[in-house]
Amino acid sequence: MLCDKCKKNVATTHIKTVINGQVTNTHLCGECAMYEGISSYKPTNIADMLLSVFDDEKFIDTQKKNIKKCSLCGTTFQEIANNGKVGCGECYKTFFEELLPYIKRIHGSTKHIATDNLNAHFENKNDDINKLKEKLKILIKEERFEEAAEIRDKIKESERKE
Amino acid sequence: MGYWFNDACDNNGIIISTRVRFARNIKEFPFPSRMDDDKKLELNKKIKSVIDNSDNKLLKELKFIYMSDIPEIERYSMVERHIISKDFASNPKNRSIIISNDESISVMIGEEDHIRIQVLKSGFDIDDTYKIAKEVDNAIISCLPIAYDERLGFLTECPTNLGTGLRVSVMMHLPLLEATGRISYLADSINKIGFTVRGMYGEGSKAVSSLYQISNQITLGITEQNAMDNLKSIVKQLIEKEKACLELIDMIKLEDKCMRSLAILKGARIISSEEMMEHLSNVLLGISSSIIKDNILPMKLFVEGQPSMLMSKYGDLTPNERDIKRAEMIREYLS
Ligand SMILES: [Zn+2]
Ligand SMILES: [Zn+2]
Repeated sequence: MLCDKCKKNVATTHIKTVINGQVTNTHLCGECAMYEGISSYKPTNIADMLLSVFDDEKFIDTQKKNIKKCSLCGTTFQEIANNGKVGCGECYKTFFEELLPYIKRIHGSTKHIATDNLNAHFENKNDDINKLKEKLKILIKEERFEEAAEIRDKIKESERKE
Repeated sequence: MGYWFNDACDNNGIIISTRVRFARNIKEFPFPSRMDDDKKLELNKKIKSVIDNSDNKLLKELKFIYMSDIPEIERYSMVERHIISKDFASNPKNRSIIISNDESISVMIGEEDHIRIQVLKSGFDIDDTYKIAKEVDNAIISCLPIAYDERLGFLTECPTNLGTGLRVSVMMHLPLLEATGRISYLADSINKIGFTVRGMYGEGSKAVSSLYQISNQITLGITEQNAMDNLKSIVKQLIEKEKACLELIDMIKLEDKCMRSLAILKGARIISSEEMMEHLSNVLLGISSSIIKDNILPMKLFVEGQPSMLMSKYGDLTPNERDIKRAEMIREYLS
């Protein structure tokens, strides 16, 4: 049996309501039951989840001040909250704090577990920094300070780009 | 050609197909819903050049096609073959598809994410399907700056895909679990461990044709291997439970139901797609419970009997002409 509301997911919650002797049976999936306030099922519709934030005093506070926008795509957190869609990769940095509680509610976790060669592929840059740091250690040990200063600048620049 | 629905189903007809999907985005590009037309065109060109210049064996076999170059009927028939989403078919502007000859590999450009890689195979074959998808994924993302964050993994337009961006799904035919009402509480416990059970052809409150898609819901904080291993064991348990239902059922009634459906399909002169799906589901059940031993592929008819599939083959048809053509096609196949 499919959910009466979304007509997609399998219904897992079955509710019998009696009004004036009239019996109505409602069958809902976990998600829809959650929205109806019937179960504590973890929701997946990010838009609805984010909307609840508007009742939050903290949010009204930040709204009074100047509204934060993503520097790359110009999206505000309110826009993300309205349609559940994040504007770009940068948005995740800009609104990291705001998004984190919802990411936790969707996945139960907020930390990606990278495996196999992915790390190597995406953390090349970090690798470079680490190599430079090793080099810096050696140069300092050998008291080659001028060269060390050059390497230090390079590390700083790489880290700023991150 | 090896379309997924032209192969026999695995595990006596209980498992129809396996699908692996990766969601990927390009760094410093807004996600699709935030892109203007110029940016979308740039995205398509960027990815086209990756495909054109790749020396990867799999990528070399793929064809790059702008969606607007595909006729509308053909686009909707691709939805019926589970190659693209409905939204992708109805809004073809500045979108493209990169696809293999047998359609087992397809990459949607400009859907919810910049890049959606899909590998779709018949039967139960998570390992092999994943292996191909991973190779295509690696070949594409190694040539592009990808939106990736050490903490959150692959960055996606919807936070539900963060992390691995991997969605593995298995399409199953579970008529007995449905008839005995067990699918409902099984779905509940499957939900609780981060997987979903979804009716594939739902209308109203019943899953038409008892086809369900089981897939992982969580993509962050779980490894790809872990998601696949868990899905495998869920699917295996569902197969066992579906088979176990056979012992509770009056065999003569089951036989009657399956054989009647086969007879209707063999004899009908006018048949709607809903009626066809219902009877094909019973034929599939007849095959999985060894009642029907003929060499029939119900999923082939199931897909080829869909409205747009019929029209892309036979031209523009009214609904009534379609129902006649559908019945004709089924009779011809079953004779
Ligand atoms: Zn629902
Ligand atoms: Zn942004």
